[in-house]
Amino acid sequence: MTRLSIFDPEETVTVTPLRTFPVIRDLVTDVSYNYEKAKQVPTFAPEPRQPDGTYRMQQEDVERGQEFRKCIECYLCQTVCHVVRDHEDNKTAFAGPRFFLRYAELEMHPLETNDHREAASAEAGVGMCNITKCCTEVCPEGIKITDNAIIPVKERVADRKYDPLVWLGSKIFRRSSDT
Amino acid sequence: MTDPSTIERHSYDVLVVGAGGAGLRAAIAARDAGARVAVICKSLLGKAHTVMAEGGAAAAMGNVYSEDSWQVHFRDTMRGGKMLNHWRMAQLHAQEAPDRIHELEEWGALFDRTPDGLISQRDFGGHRYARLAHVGDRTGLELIRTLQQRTVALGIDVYMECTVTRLLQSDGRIAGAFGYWRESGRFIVFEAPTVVLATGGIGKSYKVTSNSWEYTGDGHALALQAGASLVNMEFVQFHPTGMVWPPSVKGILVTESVRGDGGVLRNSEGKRFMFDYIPEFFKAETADSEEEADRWYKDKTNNRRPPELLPRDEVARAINSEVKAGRGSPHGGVFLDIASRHPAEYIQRRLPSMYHQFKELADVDITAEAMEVGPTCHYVMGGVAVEPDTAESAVPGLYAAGEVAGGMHGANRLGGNSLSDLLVFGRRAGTAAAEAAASVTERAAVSDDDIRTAAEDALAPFEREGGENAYSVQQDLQDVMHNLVGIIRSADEMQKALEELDRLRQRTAQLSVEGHRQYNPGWHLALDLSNMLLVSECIAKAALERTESRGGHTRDDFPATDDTWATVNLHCSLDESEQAVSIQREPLPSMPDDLRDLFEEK
Repeated sequence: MTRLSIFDPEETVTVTPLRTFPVIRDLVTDVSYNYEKAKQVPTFAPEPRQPDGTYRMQQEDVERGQEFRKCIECYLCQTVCHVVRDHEDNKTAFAGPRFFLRYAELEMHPLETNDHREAASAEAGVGMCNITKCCTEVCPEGIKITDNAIIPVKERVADRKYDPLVWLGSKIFRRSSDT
Repeated sequence: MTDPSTIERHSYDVLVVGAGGAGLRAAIAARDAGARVAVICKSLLGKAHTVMAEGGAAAAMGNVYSEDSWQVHFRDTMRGGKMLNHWRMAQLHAQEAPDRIHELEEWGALFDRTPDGLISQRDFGGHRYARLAHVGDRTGLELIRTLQQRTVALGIDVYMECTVTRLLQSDGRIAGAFGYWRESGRFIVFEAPTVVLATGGIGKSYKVTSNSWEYTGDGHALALQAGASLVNMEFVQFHPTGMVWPPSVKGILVTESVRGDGGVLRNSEGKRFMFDYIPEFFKAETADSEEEADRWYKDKTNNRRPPELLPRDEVARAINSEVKAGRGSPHGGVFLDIASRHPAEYIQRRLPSMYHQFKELADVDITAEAMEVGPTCHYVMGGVAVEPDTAESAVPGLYAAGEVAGGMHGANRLGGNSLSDLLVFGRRAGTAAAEAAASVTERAAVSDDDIRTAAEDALAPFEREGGENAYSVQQDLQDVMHNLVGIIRSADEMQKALEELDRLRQRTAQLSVEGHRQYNPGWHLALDLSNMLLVSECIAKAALERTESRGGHTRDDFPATDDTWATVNLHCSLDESEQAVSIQREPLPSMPDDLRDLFEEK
């Protein structure tokens, strides 16, 4: 968090528009990229409720997802991510750190029934992230985006793609998906 | 520019104005009912003021105390509202809140859990049992994200950074709405047989407020201008605990959960002063010693509640009195102490956002020292008078849900009841609007003349030269409301306020705006200001009319609660010329006997 009190009164404070997004006017940028990417995130598909109409989840299990849901959508992580900051043409194939949080959230949700690893890789482009942790550094909510969300999602994607047993299983039993 | 044929147009079944909890819940319900629906919001999707709600959503699920039931919740809500609430709204709210919370889980919400895996529930002021479903102290954010993601998943059209300045009507019935894109300044017209107002509150008319820039009373003003009435406008809730220092953060909310989790209020002498302010009405259920109050956190069955957890109006007035009596903190508040009552680890786990907020904004470590807090304008109980079951106003096709609607909370809202309110009535409004839209056989056309007038009105500030800018008028308005129609009111001050408001209205009519229409915040404020003025006038007039003290309305010159006022609601409406606000006294809807019996026991 930047507070004026951390600056010397003589010091010049420089403010610039977010660099990753096109400028509309003055400091205002067009952040619609983020809202387009939000539309591509898969829908949550929970298991059915318990017979008494409730869901049962343990606190330690919900806490993993709760960390990601602290996100206030300031999009600072999106604007410092050099995959899109410096490479405009990556924007179509890359959803950015904010949305990797969403995939991690779905993957780790105790009630989620679908497998989102294919989408995380093919649609969101999680493989393009090379873990420079710029996003984690700027997160005002202190979310460990890289360590707790992106890397686990990358690992799950890799497990699915490259696990030799899974590969063998899919050949022998002709299963199109793994478990 | 103002030629109706050149303006962007869209047609829908249901138009939802506002994308906070109520608006999004309404949109989801309308879509589920088969309607074509659009949501319009002043900021980006997901930035609505709902995110600021911290403590939780009240619902009698009975996960922590199985004795809890909708009847107890209903009773608490009515008593908290000093019995002025519309009984039917309070009943529907208490009955349906648990289902509304449970369905959020189906859409991905992750509430904190009890040891057996159910949704955990926390204590809050005025609630007999621990009842608030929560996510740490950022429950509102969880609600908005869940509803936002559901809205996106359903493919609902969202018009972001778009402001509605006028409702369009045909023979009194809703026909659509007129607005502008904030980004380009271009106009936009929506044709729709139903409009759901979900625009939130009015707090930006006050100097010290926990409310965001969007809270300029737009929906209140749009409804008045369309011919609906506003009810209970004299009741404005000042949250007892807002930050008071440093000046740049004055008014920012300090959640009631601090007190629910054991935080206590002390004055400069170190005294827990709330024991001196227990009103007769709540004596039977409030602890009268520190020992009993402290035991209550562990054993709620055999002890009474600490006075720090009295309804918000009581606590806000008490803090106000302590400060006035010279027993305040260095920056004009009182001390809220949780550091001496719980270990640092507990505080950081239960109140992570509060810890973060004080550390970052005030350089105060709340696990080691007391916070300085004071009252801040937080919520308006008053709003559009609606039919409880459908949330429809007196104007056919116009609905209102959430803070912009009135009646649900009576004279004072209990904490935690707003998040559940917006879910319950957001859904009801959306469903009813969708059904009404489906039953309209011939849609009324929006008139070109109305569009032209709306466009000319919106552009008027650009036509004038050499006038004041909107910010100085807004600042003066905030001073007037804060000083003259604030927590403690009196007739002569409010009369003075009405004269001031008159002068401010003249100044607003002469405002001029520099620059062009593209993303021009000065222009946006100039348009919002007329809404703020209209709503402020309603508050001042209704407050002047009610010659008693009750809930969020305290009169210095009439300090007692007066039984003759217990059966009267005040309604504000605009006269034909749309110039002056008038006040009507209406009898309270009468409660059926089976509900009335709930107040007889004990």
